[in-house]
Amino acid sequence: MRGDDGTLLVLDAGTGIRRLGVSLEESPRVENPPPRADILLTHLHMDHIQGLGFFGPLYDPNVEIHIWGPASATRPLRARLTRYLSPPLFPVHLRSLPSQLTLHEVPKEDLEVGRFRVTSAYVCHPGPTVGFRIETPDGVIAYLPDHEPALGVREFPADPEWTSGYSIAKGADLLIHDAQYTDEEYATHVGWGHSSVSQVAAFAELAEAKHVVLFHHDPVRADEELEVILAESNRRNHGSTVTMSIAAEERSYTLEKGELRIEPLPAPA
Amino acid sequence: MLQDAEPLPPKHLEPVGAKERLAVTIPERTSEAEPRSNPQMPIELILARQLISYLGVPFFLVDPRGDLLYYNEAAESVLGIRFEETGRMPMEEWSRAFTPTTADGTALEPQSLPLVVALEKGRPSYADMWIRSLDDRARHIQVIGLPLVGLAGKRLGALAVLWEVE
Ligand SMILES: [Zn+2]
Ligand SMILES: [Zn+2]
Repeated sequence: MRGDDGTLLVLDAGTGIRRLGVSLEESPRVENPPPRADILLTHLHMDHIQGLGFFGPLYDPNVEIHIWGPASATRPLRARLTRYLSPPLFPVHLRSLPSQLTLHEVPKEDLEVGRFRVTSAYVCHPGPTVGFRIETPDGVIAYLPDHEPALGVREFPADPEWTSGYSIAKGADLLIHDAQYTDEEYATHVGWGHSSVSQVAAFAELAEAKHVVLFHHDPVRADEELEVILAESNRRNHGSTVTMSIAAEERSYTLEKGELRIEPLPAPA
Repeated sequence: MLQDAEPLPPKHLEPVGAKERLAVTIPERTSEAEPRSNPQMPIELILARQLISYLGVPFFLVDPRGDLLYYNEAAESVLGIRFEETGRMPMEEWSRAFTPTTADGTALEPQSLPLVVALEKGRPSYADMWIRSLDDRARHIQVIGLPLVGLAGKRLGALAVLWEVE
């Protein structure tokens, strides 16, 4: 995520963060190297941290990097991250990374990063997991990539008050939400920490989000299957005020005065 | 170069003043107790409520002020009233409604109530007591109060098991 003041927020550190690091080095539109990057980790499941050690700016002593992520009941964030970022799982120890690295524990309310106001709160997913709400002068982005708000709820959605993630997603202009399953698949994956597309639609409606990007696709899903799932959801939710699209690589999402623009990522110059 | 910013606060538990609020006069409710700016309960309370709604053991759930948030169906039989009828109740109300006493009828000191101990001291607590349920029956119950303290030491409320002695 880029603020128009240049603020750089990175949402989780999956495999995509390696290419982000490369593109930051190559992009003519970005100060090079970026003076500061803030990485927001929702939780420490492997798919959300496995790219971390491959993020180029971590090896640049001129870059200031802040990692925000949840601690556990007995282990601070640093110890939890070091389990992965140390031999034998990774050759470089976290403390030996050359950049100016600071770790911060979340959840936290109302934290300012550049012109972004970031709020985090625990949400329903196995292990300590937060969602992030990022308020900008141009609109609100909610990031709930791993989230099962329907877990144990007899008739989902329940009251906003009793719904996980509601305070994060409320009124978001752009809601990036877990949509791993179809309804049939969810039935055999209750408690795994993810949502079905129809649950996301109901959640987004409850939270009065404007646009939902379906995210965290099941790894076996083909693009055509995703299109079918989206079309089916749109058919079922005909008349809903919430619009939906499928998260895809090489796409940029721009919020300007509350209006969302989805475009292909500009090719590097 | 690596540093930790703002480490988690030590897991000390500030008092919430639950004891004081058991006094007969009902204090003014402060706005911080009202879910206004954040209309959503913390996930720990959401999950606790969901869990006990699926259990056959009687459970009673309160927020950090001691105000009743929910009790399950099994607890409805012990308390003699359906949750739908009482809804949420301030602590001052529910703690008087069920008039807890010892076996010989002596009123129990508020600070010895397991839920109050769980909230005030942040530790589990047990008591054997009699209550008058709202269907007007004297019931012998064993109560275990369990503190709900979050990962970073945040006080979220408490759960009580209300076990009726046959
Ligand atoms: Zn996960
Ligand atoms: Zn994940």
